[in-house]
Formats: sequence, C-alpha cells, structure tokens
Amino acid sequence: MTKFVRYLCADVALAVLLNGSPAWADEGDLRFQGFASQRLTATSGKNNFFGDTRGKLSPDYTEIGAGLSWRPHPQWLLSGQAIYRRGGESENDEIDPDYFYAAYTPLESEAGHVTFKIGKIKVPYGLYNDMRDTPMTRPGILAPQSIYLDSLRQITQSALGLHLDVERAIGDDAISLRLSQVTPNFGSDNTFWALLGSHTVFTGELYSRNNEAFAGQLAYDHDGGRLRALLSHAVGTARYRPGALDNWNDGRLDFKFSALSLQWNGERVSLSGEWARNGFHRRFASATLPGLDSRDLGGSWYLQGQWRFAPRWEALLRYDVNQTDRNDPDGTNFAINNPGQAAWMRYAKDWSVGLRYRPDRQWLLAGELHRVDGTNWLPPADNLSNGVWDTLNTSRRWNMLLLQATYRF
Amino acid sequence: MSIAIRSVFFHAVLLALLLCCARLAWSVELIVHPGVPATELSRPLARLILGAKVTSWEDGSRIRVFVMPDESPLHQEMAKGILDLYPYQLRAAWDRVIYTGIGQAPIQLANESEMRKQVASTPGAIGYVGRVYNNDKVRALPVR
Repeated sequence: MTKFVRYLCADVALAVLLNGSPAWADEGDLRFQGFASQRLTATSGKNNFFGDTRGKLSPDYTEIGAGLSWRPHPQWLLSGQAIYRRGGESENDEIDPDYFYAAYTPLESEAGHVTFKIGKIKVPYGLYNDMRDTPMTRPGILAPQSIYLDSLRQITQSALGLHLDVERAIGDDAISLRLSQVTPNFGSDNTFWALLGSHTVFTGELYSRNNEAFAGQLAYDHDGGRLRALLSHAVGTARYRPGALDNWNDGRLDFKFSALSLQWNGERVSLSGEWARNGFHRRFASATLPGLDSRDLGGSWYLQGQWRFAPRWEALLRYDVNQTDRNDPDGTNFAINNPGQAAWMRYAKDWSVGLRYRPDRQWLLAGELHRVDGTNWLPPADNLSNGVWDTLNTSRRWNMLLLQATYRF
Repeated sequence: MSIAIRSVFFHAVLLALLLCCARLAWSVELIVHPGVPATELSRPLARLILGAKVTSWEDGSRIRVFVMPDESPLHQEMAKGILDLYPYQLRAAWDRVIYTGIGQAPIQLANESEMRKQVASTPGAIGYVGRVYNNDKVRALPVR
C-alpha cells in the first residue's frame, strides 16, 4: 500500500510538473486519471467471496487505480495504468500494471481508423472485458461472472503483446475488427486454482510461451451504438512446469473461448445478452500415474436489463448462468465420477438486482443483491478448509450483498 | 373590453413562454476555434469527434474537445439534438476511452462563458453554446 501511495504521489507530481499550464494548452497532451473504490461484502452460508465475508459486512475488498496518458503527436499515444487490489486470499494485495502501451494510428478519418498497439493491452472480449477492471465501466458491482470470471481475470483481462484495431464507418454504423496476439500471465494462485485445482495434485506451476494466445473480436455498431452485436474468440495454451518430486512430467492446458454479445441501448433502458462456450483441454503425462486427458466444454450466458429511471439513478436486473460442462449441466455425472467433490461446484445460476447512484461526476454509489445456486465462480483461495479446497464444505444455495463507493479523480 | 385585453395579454405571455422554452430546448450550436480547418461536419463525424474517437482535424492538427457537465441542459440538447445520442452513451464512450487508455476524454467546463473563452483561446478546440453571436471569437460549425 505504501508503495502504491508513493507511485501515486510520483504520478501526481509528474502530472503537475508537466502540466503547469492547463493540459489542453500544452503542445503534448498529458492526462492523469484514477479512482479509489471500497466494497462491503456479506455472504450467507459457508461461502466467502474475496475476503472473510461469511455472515458479516466485510470491508476486505478495495480497488485503487491511477494512470497517465500522453499524446505527444496526434498519431501517437502512450498510456499506462496501475491497479492496487486487495480482496481476501484471492487477491495478491499488490500493485499490478493494468495496462501500459504505445499506440500508433496511421489512419484516422470519418471513414474509420487503423491503430496498432504494443505493450500490455486490455484484451477485447465480449461487451465488457476490456473495461471490467474499473467500477465506473462495469455494468454492476460485479461483471457477469459466467463470462467475466474474476478468478481468471489475470489471464483474460490484459496481457503483453501486439494489437490491431481496424474500424470502418458506414454512415451512422460501424464495423470493427480487433486482433490481439499476447502472452497471458498464468502466474497467479487464483488462476492455478481455477484451471487445475489443488496444489497437492499438481505441485508445479503454469506458464505461457511468448505470444501463444490469440484473441479476435468482430463488432457491428448500429446508429452510434444503439444496437451492438459482437463476436469474440480467444484461444491459448497454459504450459505446466513440474515441481520437485512432481508425479507429472509434463502437461498443457488448451483453452478456447467464444462469445456472441448483443446489446440494445434506449433512452432509459439498455438490454444486454451474451452467450459463450468455454472449452478446456487438459493433457498431462506421468511416469508413475496413468496420463490425464480431459476435456470440458462449458456454456455460459446471461440476460441483463439496466433502467435509468431517474437522473443519476440506475437499476439493474440480471440472470447469469455458468456451466463447466454443458453435457453435465448440474454436475451429477462429475460428482459420481469424482467422489468427495460437490456437484454444485460445476455450475452457478445467479439472480442479481442492483441500484446505482451518481451524486456527481466524481462519486458512484452502488448496492447489489445476489441469489446464487451453485459455487462455480466462488474463489477457492477464500474457501479452503485447513488449506484444502473441500467443495462439499461450501453452501450450494447462497446469497450475497455488495455495497460499493467509488471516487474518481 | 378588459376581458379581451386580459385574454390577449394572457395569450401573449403564454406564446412568449412557449417560444422561450422552444429556444431553450432546441438552441445549441457546435463552435470551434477560428483556426479549425473544418467548415461543416457530418453527423457521424460529429459523433466520432465528441465521442473522443477521432482526435485530429483533416490537416492533422489535434482536436481538443470541451464539454459541459452531463446533467447540463445544454449538454443534453447537444447530445440528443445534434448527435442523436443519449448523454449516457457519450459518458460510457468517454469512460471507456479514459479507463482502457485508448484515448483522452473531453475536458469538462462549468458554464457557457467558460466554454466560449476556452474554445476561443485553444487551437483545434471544439465545443458548443446556446447561440453564437456576431462579436464571438469562436466560429459556428454546422452539422449537416
């Protein structure tokens, strides 16, 4: 935290030094932006969600972000943001570079634009992936977990690589194509839990070879975004590096995500729906054990309504479904084949209602209530029993209350 | 007779009020710094510029966008009347631009006189006011 405050002070000092006169009066535009957000979370039953939240209002989740962008030339943009996140055992309580890159736009006109980026880039996937890390740009306190799983944020949210963004305008409509070739970060504990489970079975670690993941998105925006349709696709491989005395000699996990997103934006109401298929293929070789070759083809979807019923107020209603295996939607077969594991860890059905209030441009206050059947997106690290992820020792049906205050600067 | 006068007076006041409201509701014009090369904009281009997606004028000079607070009636009129967008769509576009680092958001000003001052004194600037007067140091930019 102290480190973060130091960085923040340095950023502000730099911004002030370079911005002695108003930013827009300078030859090169430099902007500073940031936010600080505090959440109160309460969960029912045996479940914890990013902190010790069981049966009480817990202040364990905090997000603080600060960034700078500098446009030294109309065609060039240098941009970076760091985020500090604290959230129980599932967040690392450190400052992470959220994104930092150089963007070059050789073509920009009424007809469209072409932009190249290099650096750590937000990966476009679905409606919200590149915006999910700041409370102001998420559709609720939580992004729909079926598609924007917080446990997998590190690999799906931003990654080092190259990015191409092409947009062609046709009157009031626009077609855009975004392609990214990246090296995802599989280094976090949360990612390990979500992809492989316990460290007692897999004692090694996951890593990525350079530029081994690819993401693409094709989007159609009608009438300035009144109607939006997007097709997103991401493929990649996580490699396994065996630990000392590991039973596994070698291993890899291939993943393939695809999503169709639709959104309609009216004056007071926005309706969104996304449907995704998530494929995982694990292959592990061992000298002492039979090899492991397992596939999961998961399905997820949600429908969401946002209602701006009064100036500065917005209500949210969402139904969000996630299944690890579409052919075993309630996890029954999984539980039979894996004694000691809960069927309900293989799915989650989440009804949520929420309310947002923006008293002014700086503040955002929000509240959200979730009623969930299943623990599919419950963060394992916060729910260990004596260091073990005992899925039977979780509550299948649980409720969650989230309150959040965000200040932007 | 006095009833007739009262009636005429009442109607005149009502008409004046209605005209006044109509002006408040519809009168908004885009303005630019006098050195800006564009003489008019298409609506799609105006959307791209105010949405912070197009960042330079046709001669390559940088565009600097000035806006009023989201809840200001002038901003609402500009969004709906000129761009045919809802103000929350512009806000969402700017938040996306700011927090994904893909660009830079418009600079928000408190009132119309500040808007005239900043647009007149900032090369490449674009903004909007209720009405452009002959002695203004800014130029109106029609949207076709």
